[in-house]
Amino acid sequence: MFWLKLSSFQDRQYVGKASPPNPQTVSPETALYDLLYPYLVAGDFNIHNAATDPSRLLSVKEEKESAPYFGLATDLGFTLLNTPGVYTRFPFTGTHRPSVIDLAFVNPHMFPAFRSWDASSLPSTGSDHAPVLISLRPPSPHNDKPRPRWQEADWLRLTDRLKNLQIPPPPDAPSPNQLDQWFSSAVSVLTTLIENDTHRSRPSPKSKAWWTHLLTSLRKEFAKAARKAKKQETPDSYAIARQAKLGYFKAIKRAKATYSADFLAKTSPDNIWRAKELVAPRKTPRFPSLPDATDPVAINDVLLNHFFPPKNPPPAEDT
Amino acid sequence: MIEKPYNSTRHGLAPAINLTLVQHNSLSSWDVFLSLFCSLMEGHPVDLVLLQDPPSSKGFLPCYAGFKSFAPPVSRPTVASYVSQSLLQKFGVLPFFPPETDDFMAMDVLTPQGCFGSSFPRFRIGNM
Repeated sequence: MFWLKLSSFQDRQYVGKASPPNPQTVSPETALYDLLYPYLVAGDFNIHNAATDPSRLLSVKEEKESAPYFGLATDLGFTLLNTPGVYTRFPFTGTHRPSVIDLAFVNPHMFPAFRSWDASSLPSTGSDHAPVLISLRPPSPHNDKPRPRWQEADWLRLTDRLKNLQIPPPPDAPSPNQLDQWFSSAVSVLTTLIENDTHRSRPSPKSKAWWTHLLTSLRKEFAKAARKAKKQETPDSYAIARQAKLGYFKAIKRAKATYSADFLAKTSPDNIWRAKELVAPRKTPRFPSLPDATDPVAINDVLLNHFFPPKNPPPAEDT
Repeated sequence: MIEKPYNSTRHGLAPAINLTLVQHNSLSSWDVFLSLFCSLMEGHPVDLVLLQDPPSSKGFLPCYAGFKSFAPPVSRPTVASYVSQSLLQKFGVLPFFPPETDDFMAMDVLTPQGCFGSSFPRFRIGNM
């Protein structure tokens, strides 16, 4: 049983005196090291890096502080679980920007078990950090087989090769079975020739179904413009970086919307719940939960009654 | 015949399959702690809660039904890990506190039958 009482809400004063996090007190070598079995490390690293927050313009100090951690993580093959750009700290003071400082890394042995990293499903607790939910599951057998990328096939070269393709002639007066066999072997020769000259996709459970090559190009342009702006520090370069950033994020929204519309148009009983999630996603509670208070108005009443209890009426004066 | 004082069906006779953990900085606040654990009770069961800046009083951490707490042996720990009783009933958990710092702790979960679809006999969770 927890031994807190409602009266302990008096220490909510921490909200007004929250201070910036302490500097790093754990060295990279203490947190990240080579192990021969699965290892996950999570915590408030209090470091800023472009890998976790691509849209943040980092200071030299921030880069210097985070470089040893990310360098060691890269050397040891650790993988960052955070979704880049998803903030985990929302400072109470207006002088600080939201940031991504609550990080989680896994080593190569643990990574196959990683399923999800979620900083939005749990309700706010009153802290300026978001609670992060991490799920680990055994890797599921991957059903998606590599598929030919027909859009990237070199059709000009294939056309020449197809013209030169020699298909054995059909047997004279074949039986139905012989005809089937001849046809199957001819189709096999044809498809083998085409597929051998076509690149194959490498589907991954982590790949985004809505991602396009255009987004990859825009992301590279955005990163390039941001680096240039940071180096030159001129208004023009900042404006270009801002335009690149807006274009990139707008393209992501468009790609997601297009994918959703296409997905909904092809909805079947097998994926009806996925379609429901796209149309009406579950809303995350935005207020902390309190006993006997289920909505913001009730929470307000509970807090008011606790901190400002109604005064007893003054005793009636004797007349 | 003297029987063992503990249930012999514990300690990893089944492979560790799924693990859900929560990471949160509670700003040393009792209210944040309470709010977090109340919200955890409403959703999918959580096996591990990794807290940074946990609240403490006179060297003691708050406890919560269904969880057992581990923290570095200092008067005011900066990290604490809460392990669910259901996980403790299935697997041995061995906390580890590196001597060079009090701001980091790790826990080895012993899984003799393997974990996450692999044959590893243990896995480690770090908290900083």
